[in-house]
Amino acid sequence: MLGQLQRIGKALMLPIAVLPAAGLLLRLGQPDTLNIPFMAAAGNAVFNFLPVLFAIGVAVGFAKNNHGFAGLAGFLSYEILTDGAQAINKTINLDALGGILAGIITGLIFNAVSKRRDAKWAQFIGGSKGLAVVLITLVSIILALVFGYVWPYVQMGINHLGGWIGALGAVGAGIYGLLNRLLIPFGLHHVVNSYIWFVYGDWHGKTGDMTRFFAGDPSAGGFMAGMFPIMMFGLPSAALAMVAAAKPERRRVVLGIMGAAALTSFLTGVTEPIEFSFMFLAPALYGLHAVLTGLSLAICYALGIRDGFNFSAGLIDFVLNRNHATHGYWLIPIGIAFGIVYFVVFYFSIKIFNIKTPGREDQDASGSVPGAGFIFDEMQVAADAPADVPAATQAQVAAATTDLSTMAGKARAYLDALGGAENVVEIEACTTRLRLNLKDMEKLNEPVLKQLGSSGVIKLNQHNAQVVVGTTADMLVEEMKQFM
Amino acid sequence: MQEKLGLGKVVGLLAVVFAIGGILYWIGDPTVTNLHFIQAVGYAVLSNYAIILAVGISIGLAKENQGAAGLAAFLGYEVIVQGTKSISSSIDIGDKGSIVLVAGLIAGVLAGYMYNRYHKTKLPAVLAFFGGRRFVPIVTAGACLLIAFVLGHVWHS
Repeated sequence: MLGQLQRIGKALMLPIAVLPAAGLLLRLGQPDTLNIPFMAAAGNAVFNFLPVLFAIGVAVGFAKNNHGFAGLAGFLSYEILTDGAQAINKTINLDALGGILAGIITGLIFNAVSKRRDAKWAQFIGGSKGLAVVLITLVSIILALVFGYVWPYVQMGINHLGGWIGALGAVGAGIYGLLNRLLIPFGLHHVVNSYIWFVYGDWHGKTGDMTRFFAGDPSAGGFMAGMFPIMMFGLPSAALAMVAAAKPERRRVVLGIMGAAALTSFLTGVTEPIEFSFMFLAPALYGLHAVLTGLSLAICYALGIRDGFNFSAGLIDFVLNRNHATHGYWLIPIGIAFGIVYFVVFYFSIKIFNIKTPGREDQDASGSVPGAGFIFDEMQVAADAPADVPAATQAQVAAATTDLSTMAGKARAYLDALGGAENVVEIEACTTRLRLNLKDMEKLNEPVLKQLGSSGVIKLNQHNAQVVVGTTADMLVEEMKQFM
Repeated sequence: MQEKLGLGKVVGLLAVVFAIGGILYWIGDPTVTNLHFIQAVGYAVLSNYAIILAVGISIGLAKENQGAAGLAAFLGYEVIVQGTKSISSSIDIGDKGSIVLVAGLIAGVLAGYMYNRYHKTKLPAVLAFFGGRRFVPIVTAGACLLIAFVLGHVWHS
């Protein structure tokens, strides 16, 4: 289960990598800053379509070899699911949840179907991939029907919850903060947000905490103020704690990603890059972050601090709305306190429980690199593999080489370099590696493997080894089995 | 395992996708079953024809049909369409608009090209996270931003 979650987390990194740039474009393009609508529109394209990016990203992340066609199918699945559900009931908004669901379904079906060789009878719809599209369409239609009839009740329930929370004052603000963060992994936080921001409360005909705040209601802003300490200080400190806890040799790289993520959160209030980097690795730590967020909202509400944002709780909004706020500057010392708490909690939790946050991953034995996947592309991981292998002599390569231009020829050559078919007890592919069980490790010819394009050989023990070959691992193994 | 799908094979698969959309749309038609829901699902496929083309073209062009190219194509398409719209509000970006097909073709070809050119980009350690395949959507969106700027000023529908 956790393994699957981490796969989703890793898949989401592809779209998330675009967010910092988009967040800056969007925030700086707003009328209250540089006022370049064109720039804001482009940034907005990323945020508005985040659910679609999640659908494509997750489908691709799940699919074998990250095949692009799964991404196309993921997009289709998302459109069918959301448009179908909306045809039944206009008020339905599945947002990121719809995207993640569509991505998972697509990835799973795609893999199940592509395992088979193209069936003759499926030729007229384009073989196994065409078949996958048909199946994905059908499943998405069924899901759209289910969501179309069930979802409005879920949404209604959430609205009732929102009304009940709003009436509880500081405690309500705390519960809202907790829920807001807990729902992010499921993409449901916007449902609660849209109620609290745009529906809750009434002031001269204006409704919603955000709408009323900008209309000048002095009592509004209690559900937004407490976000500033978390987004400007708490989460960036968590990111810095991850840098401090990283292995010394990886610290610079981690500082790069986490520094960018921290700055993004501090300036714009876009927190996903930080949150997604640990939510799937350490769900308990994420839970703690949700509790702290609730605490911040409750404290700020109780102290009578009222502040708001029309984008998110970053420095830019803080500065722009400073004249609307009540006791707005109190948020700075509170924020610094939260920053210290976050740093201490994160640093020691990571150290004590040995959480594999970015930069703490081991070159492990299972063939997958759990944390590194978040930071590095697989190719970069491969590039990190030891490279101190002597170059193969021309003769060795010539002996091993058949025709390397075809996959079959390549497979032949790899097999020879592994000591031939009789030396290979077991072989399977894992994303970018061959996982091997060999009779005799001595027969594995590392220089030749390197010559053939492998970027690393990891010998685990007398019989087990892994060879990093890149994304073609799957096809290579299929072909190699032909010769065994 | 199949070898890489070339553009031809991808076009064949896109034909299957559009056929599914068309069949669903027809089944839901008032003169056939009159199921509004099924028609809406068919329309969800057909009305996004430009995006489907963009993603399809990009993965057909990209080495090993890598999905990062598809994601970049979608993103590039939206950047072009939303960007031009913000420059000139008279541009129709609905499925009947003339710009969507152009945006789809440009984004598709560009994303495939950008993937092949940049998917092994090594950035300095500080930005390493944004390197490799993840660099592809970023650089594609950046290029599409420029294209949107030009198109927004010259396109009239």
